[in-house]
Amino acid sequence: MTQLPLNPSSDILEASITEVGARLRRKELSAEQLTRHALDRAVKTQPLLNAFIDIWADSAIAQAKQLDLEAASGNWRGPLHGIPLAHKDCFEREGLPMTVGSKVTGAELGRVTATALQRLGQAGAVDLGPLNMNEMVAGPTGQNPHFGDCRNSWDSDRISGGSSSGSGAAVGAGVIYGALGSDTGGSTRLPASMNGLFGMKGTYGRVSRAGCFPRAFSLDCVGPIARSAQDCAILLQVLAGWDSRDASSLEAPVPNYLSIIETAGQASRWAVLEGIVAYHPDINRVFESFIEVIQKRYGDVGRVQSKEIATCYAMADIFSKVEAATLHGQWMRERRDLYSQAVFSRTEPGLHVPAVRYLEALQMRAKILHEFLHGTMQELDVLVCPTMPIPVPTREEADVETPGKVFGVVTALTPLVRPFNYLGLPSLTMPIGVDRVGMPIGAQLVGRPFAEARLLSVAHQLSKDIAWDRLANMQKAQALKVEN
Amino acid sequence: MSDRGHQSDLEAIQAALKQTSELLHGIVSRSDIKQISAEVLRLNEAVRRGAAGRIQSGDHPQDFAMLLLAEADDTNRMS
Repeated sequence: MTQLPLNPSSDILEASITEVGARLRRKELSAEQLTRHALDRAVKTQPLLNAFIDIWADSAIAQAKQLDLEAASGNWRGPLHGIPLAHKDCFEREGLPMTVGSKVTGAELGRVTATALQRLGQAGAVDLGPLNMNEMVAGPTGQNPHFGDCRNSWDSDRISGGSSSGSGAAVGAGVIYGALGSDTGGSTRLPASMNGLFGMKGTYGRVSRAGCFPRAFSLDCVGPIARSAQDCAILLQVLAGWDSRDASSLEAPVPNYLSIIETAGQASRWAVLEGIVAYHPDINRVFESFIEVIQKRYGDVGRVQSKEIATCYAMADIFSKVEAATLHGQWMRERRDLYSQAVFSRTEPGLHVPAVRYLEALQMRAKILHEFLHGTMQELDVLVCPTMPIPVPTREEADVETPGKVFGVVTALTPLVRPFNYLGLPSLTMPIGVDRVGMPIGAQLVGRPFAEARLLSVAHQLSKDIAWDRLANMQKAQALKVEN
Repeated sequence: MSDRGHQSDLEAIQAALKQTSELLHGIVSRSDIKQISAEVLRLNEAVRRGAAGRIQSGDHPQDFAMLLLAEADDTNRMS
């Protein structure tokens, strides 16, 4: 398999959002020039990665030209003015098609543009088009039999992660500066981790889900994937906040994430969350080295276990399956053969779970969260564990269309991420090292409710401490693959 | 429960789920009913065990959102 041609480190597409924003404001380049450059990169990488469902070049250039006109008259929309982004194809755009990675929904057009997209547009972002994803926002692999599999930006023989697969691959490949993901059981964090990126699942209700196609409304969280904690902070700043269009949106203050990124994590109290599942030796090695780095900066890092985590996983699984079966019932009846085997099989159990079990999971959610915060997390600010217990699998290893394989693959990839969707707690994945074949390994940082500022801050500091360099590590991974 | 008893329970569940799918939902399964049954039984057992002793008369699903707000991290009020 051909390897992805990497951007030179001096390429403007490798700069941070802050740096690019400053250059745009100094008129060193225009939004149109930058957008055309990003589009060239999108077209160049598409045959290998298949990160896009569609590349809307004309629309993106029109947006960029409009932004340049506004800038020329001194009107800067916000922190993303002229910044090229693209998003998982599960966000409605008024009058435009949304595939949800599926053939089931057909060519239905978006009714009202998703709140998250509206806010990004108001902040000046350029939208390059819809990104690939697992069918119906369901699946941790990036495999899609309808639009073609999305591939990992570090090694195209490996899975991109999902369901926000194109978001991970396109940001990882240096096509765009950030992307929206949606996360029901790890769908933002997993592709971020597998592509060596930062991915934020905020507190449940932190970011509006209005106009985002659901997997399970009790769990779904919209959030950013980006190449640094700072870029994540800028994107979250634009996205976070109450929305009258989303009944689950919560009215909590939104701090200035970027301005407090150097300070919000100070004096954080840490513990390793363990005892959930055994880790691959490579994961263990890199993770334990990372704990030493945390201890150097923040002091003692204890070890805790939680008897609630296994229960949380099952509760989240019930929500996901029952709510999805409710949404998909009519389609499963009428358009049965248009589903992939994996998504149909994963949704079927939701038809049969007793209603009492679903309501139990709903009714005791606050109680379990309270037990977790006042038990496992008592006098702690941040829990840390690997994002995945295993290295990034090959596409063959994680082929969920092989009959009987889907449940095992999902269970292998999601045990550390899904429980926090049930608990509703903010969780951020950050890259912490590489495995023996050079693929990225991520750590998941979990905070108390609305601790996004703290998580972004500690991730920012720790990333500097470990001197994380995505491009250099991608180059090494490619060289290792050639050697082997 | 004896192995034989367990096996007959599994078979009964499998037969019931196959019928439930078509009779209650009008959906023809595309999956191995043994796998679906195993998944339903696993989830049912895990949640039933988790709920034991936790459900009380005053509980309401909306308590969850209230608790998230009440337990917010101090850093969310930083400026």
